[in-house]
Amino acid sequence: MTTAALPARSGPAVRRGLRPRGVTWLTWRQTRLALLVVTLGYLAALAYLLYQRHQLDVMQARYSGLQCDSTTRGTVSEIVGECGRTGMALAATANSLHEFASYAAVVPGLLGAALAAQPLAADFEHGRHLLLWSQSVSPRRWFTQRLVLPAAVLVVLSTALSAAMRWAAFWSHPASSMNDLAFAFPSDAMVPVYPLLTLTAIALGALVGLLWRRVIPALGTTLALYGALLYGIEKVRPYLLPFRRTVFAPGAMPGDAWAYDFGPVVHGKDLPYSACDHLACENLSNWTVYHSLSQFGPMLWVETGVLAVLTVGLVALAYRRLLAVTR
Amino acid sequence: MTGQPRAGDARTTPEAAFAATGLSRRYRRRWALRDCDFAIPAGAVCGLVGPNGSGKSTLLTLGAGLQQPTAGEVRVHGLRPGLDAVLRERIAFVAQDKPLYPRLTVAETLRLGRELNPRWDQDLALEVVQQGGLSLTGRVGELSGGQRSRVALALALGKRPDVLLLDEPMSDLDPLSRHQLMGTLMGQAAEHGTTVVISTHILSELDGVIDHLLLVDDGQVRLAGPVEEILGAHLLLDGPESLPLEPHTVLELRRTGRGVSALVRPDGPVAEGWRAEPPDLEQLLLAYLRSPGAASLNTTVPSSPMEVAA
Repeated sequence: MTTAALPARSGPAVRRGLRPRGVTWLTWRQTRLALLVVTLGYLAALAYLLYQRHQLDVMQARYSGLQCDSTTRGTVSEIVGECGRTGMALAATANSLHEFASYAAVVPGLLGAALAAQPLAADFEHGRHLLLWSQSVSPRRWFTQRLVLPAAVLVVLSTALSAAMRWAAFWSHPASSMNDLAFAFPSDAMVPVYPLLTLTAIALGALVGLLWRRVIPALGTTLALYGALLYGIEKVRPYLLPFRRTVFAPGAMPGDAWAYDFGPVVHGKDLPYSACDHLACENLSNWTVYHSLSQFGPMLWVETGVLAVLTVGLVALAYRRLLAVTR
Repeated sequence: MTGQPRAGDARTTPEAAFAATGLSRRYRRRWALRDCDFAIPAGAVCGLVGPNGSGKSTLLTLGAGLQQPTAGEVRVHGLRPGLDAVLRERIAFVAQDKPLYPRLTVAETLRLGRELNPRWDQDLALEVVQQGGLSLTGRVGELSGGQRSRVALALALGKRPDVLLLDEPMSDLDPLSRHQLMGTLMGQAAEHGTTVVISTHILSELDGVIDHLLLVDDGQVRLAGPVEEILGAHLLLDGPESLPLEPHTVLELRRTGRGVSALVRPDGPVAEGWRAEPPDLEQLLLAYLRSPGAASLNTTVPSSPMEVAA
């Protein structure tokens, strides 16, 4: 019996430089325009965010200058009118940051669909995975290198934007404190959650792309599942850290806290707030379960950890699915 | 074939480039291939023939390592395609649909080959493309089907494979392009000793091109072996109906006017009165395809996957 020695051939040529190679080159060639648009979009978002942060200080300075809560120099009606308008403008600026963060939280889902689910599903739909897999590229390498470049670019961009978001809202200590908005703020759009959320969306898109192997269903499913993920995070977030409980006198609700639930205390018993339909609660002490502002930072890290575990799970499932496709 | 090396002769048996033992592949409940045994020697140009849905594409994708067998095994140069990483750069496969990236230019498509294959031969790939008069700056999506086939073949040949698996590569080419491309293909195969397995349902394009034959029908190997040996094992008999056909194995019997025409595997001398001649390749293949019940002939069944008659 003869042996099965393969004929010797010359080895690969020496390659130098940092330019993208192999499947990464293909990914770069195919997504460079999309990545450029995404980068410009993130930069524009960053500029808008910084502008709004500046506006927040301007509005606060104007409001303070009016001395709305002390002496007045004009007629009362003039001052009250100006105070009202400036106060509303200040609140609108703060709300615009809030809205901006809400929109930013949606973006990773769109990018996961467009830059992970779409290319993988399209390769399968048009049989191009066979082209690549028969070009000295293993399925695992194809899958990995298809995702590494967009994932790396998006993590850098999302980290920059979400760090700026957290800086603008909290770390920079704006003259008008936004602490009362902390837990209501879409914290998904802040570091460290946002970069992980971006990775989760990419992993989700990749898995869905491998499962559907058709572009349109893969896009739709990725977006739907990402929406479900955001909804799920919203529901789970309060339980990520243990609640604190306190009883407070009427009208003395603790400040800078995220009150999750509250109600009247009657004969030493906590009743739900709905009991006030039948009781005169105005003069009763109230109980509340809440998260304090000091729990905000740790809660973001716990949320990040949950997303990291989810991402690892999705990636593992994707590799498992890939193995099944080639068996 | 006297004097030719035979299976089992350790000194002379050539290396099997592509061999299968009990190879089976199932898709859900349907068996695409079942218990296939064959061995194709290195350097052979093998025609893979069979009707639509017979399992040809499955056989090639298994050989390329794009899928794994449900049962049995397939070996390329003794290694397991898809599992032994070293084999990946030694096999080229052109799928039936010639999938390419339509937004890449021809030059970028060749660059893709260069980026992905460590043994890439840019000159050869360029030569194949330029023979067809293709512009390197043209987008693949704007090419005709035949031109796309040429680009796909350039990618496969530029890889400098040891085994080239082609799934109906010429099906969408006009006769002139088919002739040109087949010439390029065979020239390269001969120059570099590449083993070529080419599936087709255009039987005429195989004549004079292949030296090995693999006929697959209903997921099973019906004919396997060197073309000369297979053709030499058959006779086409023409004569009156009354003439005896025993003791030969009759594969197909057709009435032709006042007589009959029979394709047989002779077993002893042919009776007086028959006009006997060897069939040509197309006659033989058509006869087998028309007669699903005809007995199989496999001269390559190896005593191990590495041994094969040449």
